[in-house]
Formats: sequence, structure tokens, C-alpha cells
Amino acid sequence: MSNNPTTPVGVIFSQTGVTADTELSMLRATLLAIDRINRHGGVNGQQLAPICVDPQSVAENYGSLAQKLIVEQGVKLIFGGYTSSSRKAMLPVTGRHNVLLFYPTQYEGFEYASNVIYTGAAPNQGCLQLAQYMLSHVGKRVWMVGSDYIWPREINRIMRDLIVESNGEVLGEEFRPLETNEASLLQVAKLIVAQKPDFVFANFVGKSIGYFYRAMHELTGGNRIPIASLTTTETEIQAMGIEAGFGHYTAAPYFQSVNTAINLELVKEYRSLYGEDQVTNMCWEAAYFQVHLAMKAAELANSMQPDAILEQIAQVQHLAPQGKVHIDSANNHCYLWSRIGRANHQGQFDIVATSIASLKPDPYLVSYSTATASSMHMIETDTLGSATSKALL
Amino acid sequence: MSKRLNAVQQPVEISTLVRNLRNHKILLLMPEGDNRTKMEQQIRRIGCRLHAQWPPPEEIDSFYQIVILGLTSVMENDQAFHWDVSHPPAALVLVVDYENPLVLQYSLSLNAQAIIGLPFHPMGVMSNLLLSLQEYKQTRSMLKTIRNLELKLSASEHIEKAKHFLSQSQGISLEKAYRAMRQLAMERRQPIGEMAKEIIAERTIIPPDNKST
Repeated sequence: MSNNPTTPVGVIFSQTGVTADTELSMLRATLLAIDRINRHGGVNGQQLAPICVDPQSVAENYGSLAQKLIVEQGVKLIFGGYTSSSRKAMLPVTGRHNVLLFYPTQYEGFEYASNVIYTGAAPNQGCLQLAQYMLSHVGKRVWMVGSDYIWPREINRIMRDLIVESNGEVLGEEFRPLETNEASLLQVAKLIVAQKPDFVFANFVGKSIGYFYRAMHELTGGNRIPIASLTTTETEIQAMGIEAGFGHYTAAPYFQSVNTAINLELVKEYRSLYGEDQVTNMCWEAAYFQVHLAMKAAELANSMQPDAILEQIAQVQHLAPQGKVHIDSANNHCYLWSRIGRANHQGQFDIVATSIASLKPDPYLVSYSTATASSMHMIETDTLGSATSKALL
Repeated sequence: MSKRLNAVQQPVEISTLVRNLRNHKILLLMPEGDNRTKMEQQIRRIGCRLHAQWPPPEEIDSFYQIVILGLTSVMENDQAFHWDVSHPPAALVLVVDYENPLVLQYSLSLNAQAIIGLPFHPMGVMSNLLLSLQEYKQTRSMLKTIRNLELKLSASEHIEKAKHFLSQSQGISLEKAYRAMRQLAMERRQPIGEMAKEIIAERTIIPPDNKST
């Protein structure tokens, strides 16, 4: 294949540092998608040549590495970013050079950049549904915790409003630095356990997730206080130990347990490549399908230029592991499915509720009162997966 | 963030502001073109109702709470734009291509609440809409407060005068004069300031049998 023309694409995920666990899975998913596309002859007669760089979980590095990829390697497409800080570091660079960025992580919304495609969930595609589920099924006395940066702060602000709107009560709120230690999170866990909330809304990122869940597990044992999260995936549960994760809730468009043919096939291939112990997660899935969306648009445009791809991006759809997805031309965000999972004894999620269709992204949406009824219509499923068709609202 | 910035430690209020932004109607006055299209798209993304037109209308419909005006387009095309600066019908956001002294002079004389610079950038539109709306509402409520204070002040001047008049003409104490006036105002269901004004104008004397309680 060495004689085939190639197109360089930038891939920016941390392989080291605090967020490496999840980002490594995103890197591998991106490479898996690229490999699959190349095996099928590439795009417009070109093979994709991924150039992977490691920003080491440091936000500024995402910006400087993006700059390097663009200026030194002539990259026009970048797949990458995990934390909101990492995205915000890349935005001015990709904007200045008119490079197209595909960002595969759930984030706090309130953003639109014409040259960014957002394939993770906006708050109206997960946060709203999780709040609704927890407040109506688990209880209304809530403790809120998270890592100390843009995303957890904003998502907790949204959650606080949803709790207040539902006549719930916020018992306390604590943030800890991204780079923190077990002792600090044990201290937070003790504060929480002393007040016995109905559930904890936790949006830690990186290693803090494991520290926190383990601390809660040690302090409460069998009398666990449910934790609800938008960040805790199969990958974090595997890292923290299955027992520490058991019984806790996460909202995501995708879980490894999603029962679609493409997901089963893909997980199998992924494991054969990277080891049978590998698990997948929502970020892995978005990182995977966004490459396909990008390349389908490139094919339709018959071009690898950012503007040409952008013009076609809302015209294509992809059968992703989570179900059919496509980009909303109005805001560059993705139509996604909404699911709520509860971690089981295998470190996987039993899906307890799922949306009836993919949900239109509304990154500027802030409350139930402005949410469309259909976006809040979830079908509850029991642990065996059979739908009971009971609406949450 | 909220820990460090005490001024924004009102999460519910800010979400109310952001949420309510969607209930506002916006009149976008820019000539057709790329910048207007991008502005329209961003406003719709934010979720506001919007009507775009060019040239600007003779009169701004009170239906709209925010007017976005392409100021440099108005200046360059010598368009008329009618704006009552002393009683603005809505919050005013200007869109400008450049910021020379003439543009600044117009912006100041229109008493605009916010200015958005071109080329268009989506970030900043929401902030400017929110800020202009807040500023407009605050100014309006401040003007209302000032108006009320002025009325109160003038009423208290009348009361003072009437008090002295009654006290002198009827040989009663100032306090007694005031109580008599208040009593009568209550009976007539009339603001005491207005009644005081009448007393002075008509030299009315409150009968001494109208005792205050």
C-alpha cells in the first residue's frame, strides 16, 4: 500500500497522565475506524495516515500539538480532545487555520464553532435524563461533587437547577483539582457519608473517579449510596475494581452492553486486537463513529478539504454501535441516543432506561421546562433488557 | 469559579436569565449577506425568536425586546434609523465592521447596550444579548425608581407646605396638622401628597372637628 496516495489526519489523545485510561481507548477506537476505512480502500482513493501525538493530559499541550500537526505536517482534519479544557485549548488554533476538529466527548454545551463537529452528548442528551431518572427513582436529597474545571462546574450548575426545579435539595457540593490524591477524595466521601444523601452526583474525571468510588465503597460497604455520573464508564469501573463500581448509575449514549449487531462485531474485533480484557465506553464509541461520519462526508464531497467536508457533514448518517447517528446542520452537534445504565457484577452496565429515538442536540438548552417532551420520553428496561415501556415523564 | 467570584454565586438566577433569554423576541436589522446569515443562525441556535429585515422600519414594534442593528451598514448606505434614545423601545445591540471615532460617536449617541464586532464570531453573541437585556432592564427599572422618588420628593414638599399652612391658619401644632391631613386623605382614599397639593392651591381648611385618631 506504500504507493497509494495518503492523507494525513491528526489524532490527539493523551496516552499518559490522569485521563489516559479513557483517552487511550479513544485513540484505539480512532485507529480502529481508520484501519477499517483503509482496509475498504480508503476515501476518495486515498489512504488515511494517522499522526498520533500525546498531550500527556495537559490542556495547553492539545493546542500546541494541534498547531504543530497543522503547520509541520499539513494536517487539515483532527480527531481528538477529551476534557473541555483540552477542547478550548484547540479551538483558537483550529479556528485560525480553518482546520476541522472532531471532538468525541460529552461536554457542558453553550458552544458552537463553525469548524468543530461535536459527537459527544450535550446536556440535553444525558444530563437531563439522568437527573430525571435519579430524582424520580432514587431520591431528592443530593450531594454534588466533581473535578475542579469547566465541565464539572457547569454540569453541576445545570444539575443544581434541575434538582431545585424538582423540589429536591442539594446537601453539599465539593470540587477537587484534576490532579488530586486518594486522601483528599476520602475526605470528601466522609463528608457525604455523614449526611446520608439519597444519591451523589459525581463528575470526576480521570483517576479521581476510582479514588472516589473506592472511598465510598470502603466507607459504606453493602449500604451503598448510589452515585450518578456522566463520566464513569466501563473503563473507569475496570480500573477501580468491579465491586467499587457496582450498583452505580451512568448516563451515556452508548454502553458496551448495547445489544446491536455492529456493536457485538466491533467489540469482538477490538478485543482481538487489544486483548480480551479490554472494555469499551461512550468516548470510545464516539471516537470510533466520528471518523466514519467524517469520511462519509469526505466521500460525498469528493474532497478531503475541511470546508467541503463541513458542507456535507449533515447529509450523511452512520449506523454506529449505539444506533443510527447524524449531525445537526444547525449546530454541528450530533443526534444521539440517551441511555441510563446501572453497573452490574461484571463491571458492565445494565441499561435501565433508553430513549425511544436518537435525540436532537440542543447545546444551549438549560432546563426541563424548555426540553421537548419527546426528548424526555425514556423507556424503562429491566435488567434482562425487556422494555416495560413506562415513560419517565 | 463561583467560589472565587462571589458576584456570580447565584446559580439559579443565572439559569433563569439564560433560560428566559429564549423567551425574547429579537429584531435583526442588517442587510442580507453572510454576516446576517451567520448571526441569524447563531441566534436560532441559542433558541431566540427572530425576525430579520432591511432596511430598518420607521418604527420599532413593541413586540421585540432586543434590536440588533448593523450600524456601519446604516452609516454607509445613508439609511434612516429612528430610535428614541430617551424612551428606547428595546435593548439595542450594534454590529460594526470597524470602530473609528465616527462609529463610536453614533454608538454613544444611540445609547447602545452592547457592540458586536465583525467578522462574525459565534462566541460573544449570547453574552452580548444577555448583557444588553440586563442593562436595558436595569436602566428601565432605575428610571422608574427615580421617577417614583421624584414623585415622593415632590409629595413630601407639598405635605410640608400644607402642614405649615394648616398649622398657621388654624393655630394647631405641625404634628396635629399632619395627622388631620392624613386622616382626611385616608377617608377620601387619596394620596396624601395630592391632597396636600390641593390644600395649598385652594387654601382649604380642614374643619377642626375632623379629629385625628
